[in-house]
Amino acid sequence: MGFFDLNIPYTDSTPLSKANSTVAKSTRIKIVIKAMELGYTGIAYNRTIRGVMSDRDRCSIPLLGLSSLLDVAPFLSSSVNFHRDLLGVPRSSPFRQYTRLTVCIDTASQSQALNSGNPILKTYDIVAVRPLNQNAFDHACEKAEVDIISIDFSDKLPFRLKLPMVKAAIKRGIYFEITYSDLIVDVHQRRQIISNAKLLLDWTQGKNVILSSAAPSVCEVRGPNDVANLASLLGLSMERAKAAISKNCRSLLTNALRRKHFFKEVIRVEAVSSSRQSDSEIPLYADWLKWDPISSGEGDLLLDDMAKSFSASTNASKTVKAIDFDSIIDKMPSHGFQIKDLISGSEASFQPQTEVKSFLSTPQPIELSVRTNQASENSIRHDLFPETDDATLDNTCSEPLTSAFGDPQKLYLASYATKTSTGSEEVVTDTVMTEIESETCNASVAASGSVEAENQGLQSKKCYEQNFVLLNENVNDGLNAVMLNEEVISHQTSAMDIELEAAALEISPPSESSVETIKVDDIAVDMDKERQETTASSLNNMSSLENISERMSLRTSEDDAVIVDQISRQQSDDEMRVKDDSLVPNHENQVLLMEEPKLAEADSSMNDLGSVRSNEPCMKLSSRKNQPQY
Amino acid sequence: MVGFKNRYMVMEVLLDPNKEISGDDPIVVTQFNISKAIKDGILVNFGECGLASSLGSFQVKYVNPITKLCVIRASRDEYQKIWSSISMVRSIGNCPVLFNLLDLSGSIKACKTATLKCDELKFEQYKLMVGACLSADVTQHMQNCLEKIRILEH
Repeated sequence: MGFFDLNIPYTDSTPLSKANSTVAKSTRIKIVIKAMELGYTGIAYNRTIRGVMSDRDRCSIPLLGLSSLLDVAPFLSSSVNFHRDLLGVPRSSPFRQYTRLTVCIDTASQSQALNSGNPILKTYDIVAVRPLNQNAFDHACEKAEVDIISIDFSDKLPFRLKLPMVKAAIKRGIYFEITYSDLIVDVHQRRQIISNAKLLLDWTQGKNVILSSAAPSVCEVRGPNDVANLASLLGLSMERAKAAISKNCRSLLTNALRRKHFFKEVIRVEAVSSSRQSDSEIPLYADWLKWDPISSGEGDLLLDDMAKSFSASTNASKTVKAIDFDSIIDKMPSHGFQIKDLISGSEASFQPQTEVKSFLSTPQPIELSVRTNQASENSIRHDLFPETDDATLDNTCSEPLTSAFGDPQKLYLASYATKTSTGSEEVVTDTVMTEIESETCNASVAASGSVEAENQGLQSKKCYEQNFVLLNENVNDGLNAVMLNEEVISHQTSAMDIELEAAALEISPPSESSVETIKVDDIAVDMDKERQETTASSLNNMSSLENISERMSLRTSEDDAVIVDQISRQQSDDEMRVKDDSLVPNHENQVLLMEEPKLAEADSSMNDLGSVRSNEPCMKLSSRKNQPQY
Repeated sequence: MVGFKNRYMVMEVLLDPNKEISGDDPIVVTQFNISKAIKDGILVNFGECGLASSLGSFQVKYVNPITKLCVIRASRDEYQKIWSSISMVRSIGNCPVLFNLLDLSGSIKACKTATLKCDELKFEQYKLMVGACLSADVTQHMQNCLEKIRILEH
């Protein structure tokens, strides 16, 4: 659990006082270095404004890069690692920087500005309010759409804290902030702070309270344990005090970033970078496994880089960078997205070379994928990336992500195979790849073939399900990919499982070539129902069933109009995990065609697996040559 | 069984955080000046009675001036107050300082192992910082300090 200090004062440098600005900048750097050394994993630069916000107040806080920090403190990494080990923080967790705005409010009109429609507030990660009188405080607790209520305890409070107000604020998910640096600085302020903050802490019992320094200089920053102990002076128990600088801060950040990056709290849009190496062996979805809910985008400093070289700047961060949704929202047509809009290519708000991935389904709860599951018995659980609704897919597919994609995106699919406990098997394979991936696909297909070869005889009935997921890849346009990871577990009566990971990507970029509508058919629907009757409960494969009911109609692009459905096949085998990257022919029908002969050949016995195995590579290869006859 | 319980805090003293990284220290931390600074802090924050009740068990057991590590003993009843006062110490003499707790233990044995570990790690960092001009007597001094840790007793 990381520790956060969410109030590091930032004064925007006025052009008049150049000297002050350099001093301020060096102070900021020193504070950040000290915070990193003391073991904090995240900080927020706090900018305070008073009164009415203007357009000048948009976020312009420059985030510090690793190189600037290392210039000042070249031996940062050893000290950071030392303290992190002592605190129990993992060494490799990135150091995050956030931006925060504190608005001082004293009139009702200013309070009205604090709603979610305010565009200036959206440019900051965290929004805090500092009420200066009773009305402002009441309004902040009950109606204002902020993350933090920050009260200046160091002087006599201009208003009374009332318990129902405090309770209302907690219920809405607002956090109260107590700053500790005034305790250290001045003796008289110490008195005031302790007496004022004690009341708040007695009422809240530490719930929804965060502790932070508002350190004017580096001498006022204290380590996380020391801060927790200072809070015990105010009446908090040690456990709650520790939570106040770690868990509460983290949930605050999750909420704040969700509000900022997610569209209607559900969909997170990210762009996939075109700079990924084309021969990377790691499937795309592996990066998605590292989805970072409190990532601050380019503010994250990966500390592994420090160890490599002192003067290195941060490498191309592998963390996903969320799209600033507001800038995109403005460009969205009101009637919704059409594919033809994407052809023209829309601009993105971030650089083309930033590496981003787009996955739409991640924030959605897993229950979404269950919806497509027709089998009630099969508790298919989607590992990490539940399939999105058709509606959301259409929406998200059409959202433009980047304007420049140099290289074709690679789509990696791994196939999952799940087995039920009774021994019926399901194998889901998704195959869509660009031609670049042909070698890897073949290799993986061969691998999967070998897996199947090792399958033992299947006693129970098998049914093959084929799901195709349409993939459409457009080099030049934005790309939305949804990766589905499916786990196929197969086991016989001895309950041995096989797992084949399958990922399906759905992409809907248009292409220059003729547009054709591809409809996906569910071959396996009947088979699925058949299978479900026989399968036992311990089936883990949501995605196959999701795809069964999923319909996508996409317009193909010039390059690759591929429709890929997920294919699920049942097999019984030993427990194995195979990542299957398989090529998908450019036309959807080829895939269907490929599967049909496979199905036709398959018996209800286990031998089908062998035949499937041997045919699968061939089918894949031959499918590329086949013409769509669908 | 001993009914009287203590707490041993392993703290590091960060001298003059505002200054740029350089090899020499503005002051030398000793048992005396750390102890004095902390006692002044307790007096200001907790008053005469607070100081008196903490003074019974309060002692700075070990100080390493090279790695700026110190071990402070306090009674189990008063250790939180003493710890808060230590956190609020702003300067030793003229030099602004920053105390950071590394480890808190209830027995001298656990404290000794923690101190040894922290001291060695901090010495590695010190060697990195100093670089080439590591003198032999510094190393010797370091060995003496490590010996002192091993013979610490309550």
